[in-house]
Amino acid sequence: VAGGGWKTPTNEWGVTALGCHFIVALGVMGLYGRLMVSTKGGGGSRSKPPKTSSGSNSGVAVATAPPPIPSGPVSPGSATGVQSSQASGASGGGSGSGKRSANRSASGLGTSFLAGGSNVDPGKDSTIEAGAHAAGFGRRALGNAKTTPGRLSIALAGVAISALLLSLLAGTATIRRSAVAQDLRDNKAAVVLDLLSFDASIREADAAATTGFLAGGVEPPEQRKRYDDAIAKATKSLAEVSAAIEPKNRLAVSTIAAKIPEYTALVATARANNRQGFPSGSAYIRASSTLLREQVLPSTISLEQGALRDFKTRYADLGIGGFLGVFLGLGFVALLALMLLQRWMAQKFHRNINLGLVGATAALLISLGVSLVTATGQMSRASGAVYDGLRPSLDIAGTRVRVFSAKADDALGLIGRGNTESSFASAQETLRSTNVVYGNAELVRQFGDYVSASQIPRDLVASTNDYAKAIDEANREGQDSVNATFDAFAANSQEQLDGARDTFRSRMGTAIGTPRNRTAAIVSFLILSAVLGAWGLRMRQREYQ
Amino acid sequence: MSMVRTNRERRLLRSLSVVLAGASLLGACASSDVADLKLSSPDAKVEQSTVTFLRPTIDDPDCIDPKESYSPTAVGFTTDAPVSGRLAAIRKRGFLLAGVDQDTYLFGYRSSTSKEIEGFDIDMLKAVAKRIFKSDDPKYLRLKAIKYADRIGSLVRGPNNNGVDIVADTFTMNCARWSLINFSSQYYDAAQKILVLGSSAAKNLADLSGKKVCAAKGSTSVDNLRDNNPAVLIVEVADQTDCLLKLQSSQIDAISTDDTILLGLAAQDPTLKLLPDAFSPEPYGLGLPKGDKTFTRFVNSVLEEMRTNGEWKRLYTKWIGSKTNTDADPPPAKYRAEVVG
Repeated sequence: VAGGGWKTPTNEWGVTALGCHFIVALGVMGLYGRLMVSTKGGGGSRSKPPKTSSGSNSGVAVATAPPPIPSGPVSPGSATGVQSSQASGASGGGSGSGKRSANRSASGLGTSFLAGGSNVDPGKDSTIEAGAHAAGFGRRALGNAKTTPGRLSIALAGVAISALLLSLLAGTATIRRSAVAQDLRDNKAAVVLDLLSFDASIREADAAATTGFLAGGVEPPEQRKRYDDAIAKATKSLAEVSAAIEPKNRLAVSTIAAKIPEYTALVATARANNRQGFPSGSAYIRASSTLLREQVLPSTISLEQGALRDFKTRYADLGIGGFLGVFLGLGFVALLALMLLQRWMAQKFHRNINLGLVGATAALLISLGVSLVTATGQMSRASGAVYDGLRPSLDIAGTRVRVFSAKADDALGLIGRGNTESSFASAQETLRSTNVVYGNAELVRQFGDYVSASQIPRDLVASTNDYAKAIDEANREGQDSVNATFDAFAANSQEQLDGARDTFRSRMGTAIGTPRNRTAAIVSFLILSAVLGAWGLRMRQREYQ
Repeated sequence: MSMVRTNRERRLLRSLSVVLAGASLLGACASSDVADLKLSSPDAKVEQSTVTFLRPTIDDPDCIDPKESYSPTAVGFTTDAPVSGRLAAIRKRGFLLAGVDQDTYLFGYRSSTSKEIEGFDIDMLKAVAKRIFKSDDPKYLRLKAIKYADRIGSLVRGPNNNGVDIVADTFTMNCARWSLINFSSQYYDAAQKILVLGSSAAKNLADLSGKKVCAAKGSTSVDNLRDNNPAVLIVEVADQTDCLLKLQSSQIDAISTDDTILLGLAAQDPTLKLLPDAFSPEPYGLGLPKGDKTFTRFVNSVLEEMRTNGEWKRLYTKWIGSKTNTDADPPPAKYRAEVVG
């Protein structure tokens, strides 16, 4: 199995895509609300920005009066105070040291923090000191947010960080989606199909062993070959299952694997007794069938169901969840923030268009669009693989299991004169449903031929009790015989199953193929968005210098 | 101006909601692709016995000695074509349908060479069919393998209801069974014994207290074991050969059933040994439909002839004597005292 070493958790975020989007939506609304509040509350923010002046400011280390943001025009000569106040961390207020300004401007969370920490002796605990420094940084940041240049700086940092974060997320999302698709193809779906292959093969072996035993003495070589081939196929499938299945299920696979030699030993003993003419051989062949039916097959069916559940769970990771969901969510938040920033700047600087920010918005929009298109394309290809490959694979494999099971029941029924009609009816019903969907008319016809042929020995037993003739008929190899019709069905269904499986693998492969150029384009546009945004913001910042 | 801004804000929020909803839908789509994928593997069909064990609970009030059957020399009886009853139905149908075992070596088993069911019991049936149809053409006898526990049930149901006309299957005669079916006169004298591994220290049933002893479900062997040593742990199986598999794989300590059957099992595995002590007589008779005295008398007339013309002895030698180096005479027939008229 290719890529057998790949193992990932099923949902690394632990939340559903819907929940993730809900959280992102709340975040967006919260941010939007905050921006609106600050926009409405800051009357000064709509004021005309100060003219850049060479300045007569003499104060460097000490913050001289910076522009009285947010209240009205700034007096000439105080422009350099912007840089000073930024350096010292003081917020607008235009008077005193940075420390005093910070104390004055501290509000909200900062005030609460100071109030909460007022009873602690800072000289005795370095941790508390560090906390105080952090609080100071927080206060300075909050203070910066009160000034227009500070806000521009924050926006600049935000644009850069967002671009970096979004680039990381975009790359990770693409890699992970490819990994998920590969895991689905090489492990999850492969395990389900290999388990079904094992299921069908072991039932085929059961049917061949039982039918061959009925012949008495040395079993017909054709039946022996069918048995040997089926056992070889079953063990191969089980080995592949063992390599790719979830670690939690490996013990169950080992238990099944341990039963196979036990089963073949019982069949071998039955043959040995049969060759010597000892009727105890029939006890051994019955015991072999019972071992399969009571111990091997129930565990196999349980594993099949579990493996399909694992596939479905993993497939959900292809959706807008995980890294991609976060990327898109944050991307749209960034987009919204950029748009609000432009509106604020238009009001603040009385210029309708900031080319840098418009370009940044366009680049971000393009990168998000490309991401969405790429993701949708991957999902579409994966969906096509499921519909055109996996779904028919499961149907055909399931039908094979039913038919092989019916044949095994039929052979066992010949020993005990049982009625296997219901098993064939069930297999026929399953096959007809696949015919409607996938046009397996040939397969249905072959199955019909087989059912008709297998009816002959059953009728011989049921209506005439001619047991010897029934056994001869069950082991006949000629045209239209039970075995010939069964082989035709088995070969064609295997061919169709292989075809459907190949379709799934190749279609899923197109979903796996990492669209590197797309990823590069997404990251490039994000970087472009950051550069353009920074340029646009720096143009306005320079107006303060 | 404020109103305009609010509308813009609303439009922005609406747009964002649409985008997020679209993204959520894409996520939901991924799950819906596989939601209805299902497997159609059928549950493993474990061979279930469809046999309802018909177990007689009371003795037949007319049964004084279970070995006693209906005399073929009764006044008014003739082996010529009867006009009614089961015998007439068999002749009309064109074959005798007999219930047999296919796993009891030497008595009724499927030969791997001839692929036919053969044995001492089967030859008894061939003699009956030959007399009914006055021909030894095999087409007049059809054999149906039945479970041990279904021997009585098959006779009670009859050939028109998935049953049979006659049963030859190491069938022990007792008064409880007489309450549901008829028996022919005794055609074999068996006894219940014990088969153990060659290495076993057990010498008799008493030595097997607390040990697992296997017997076929529906056989008198189970009752005899309980009666003779309640301390043994009885393991019941569908077929006698299942006991052999269990003994060979050390799942049980011994097999107890009729010596005839045990001889057949021992012949398949030379490492086993048959203990000499017999603790219950097991007279064999052919099972017949209840109340059909004509058919019973007819079969008894066939057995009587086999006793006297040496056919019985020839068959014994063929199937049992040659394998066990023993010689035997047919058990004497015993008939019920019947009031004429």
